[in-house]
Amino acid sequence: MPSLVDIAPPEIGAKEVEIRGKVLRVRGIAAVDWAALYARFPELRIMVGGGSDDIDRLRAMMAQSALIAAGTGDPGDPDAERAAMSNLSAEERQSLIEDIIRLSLPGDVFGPLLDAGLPNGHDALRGAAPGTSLPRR
Amino acid sequence: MAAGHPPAAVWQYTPRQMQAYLFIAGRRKQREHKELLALHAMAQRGDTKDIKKALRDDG
Repeated sequence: MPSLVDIAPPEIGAKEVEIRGKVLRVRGIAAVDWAALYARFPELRIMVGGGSDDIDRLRAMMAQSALIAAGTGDPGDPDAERAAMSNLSAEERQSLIEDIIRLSLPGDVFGPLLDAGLPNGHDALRGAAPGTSLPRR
Repeated sequence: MAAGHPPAAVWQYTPRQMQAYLFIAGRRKQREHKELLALHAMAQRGDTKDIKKALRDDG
């Protein structure tokens, strides 16, 4: 049974997430922005669907960054995507994507979308990237 | 869109919103079907007076 939050516009369902002292406003991604993301990153469809076969790791990270930019209110903004790619640690990206997916899609968050960019089985590399700044906003 | 949402608005919905609206539209359709079924049943076995009353109540 859907709740009122499920039908509320993305701005109302938005959530504030704090990363290294900076507050980011995370919101659901609209269908039109999903369409643009899928057009740019066809592999994203596979990742969201739960598959992970033969997806290039760099492409997966680029898709993740574009997803974060869209979910923080800057869909298609190359600066925001670059910032998400270079300034966030794998763990921070994962946490943001999880929130964005929860606010955007019905159902559960799938592992392959979250794990892209993390070396297989090496969780030790997760963690804050020292000395980096966060995306704008 | 079939439930009456303008296409331009639908593109601005998140898939989560779409699913919620589809659920609500589905429930409404189910309720309408039940009402229709009740009317048909009444029309089939009810007397003229009941049918006339139902038609009058529906405007």
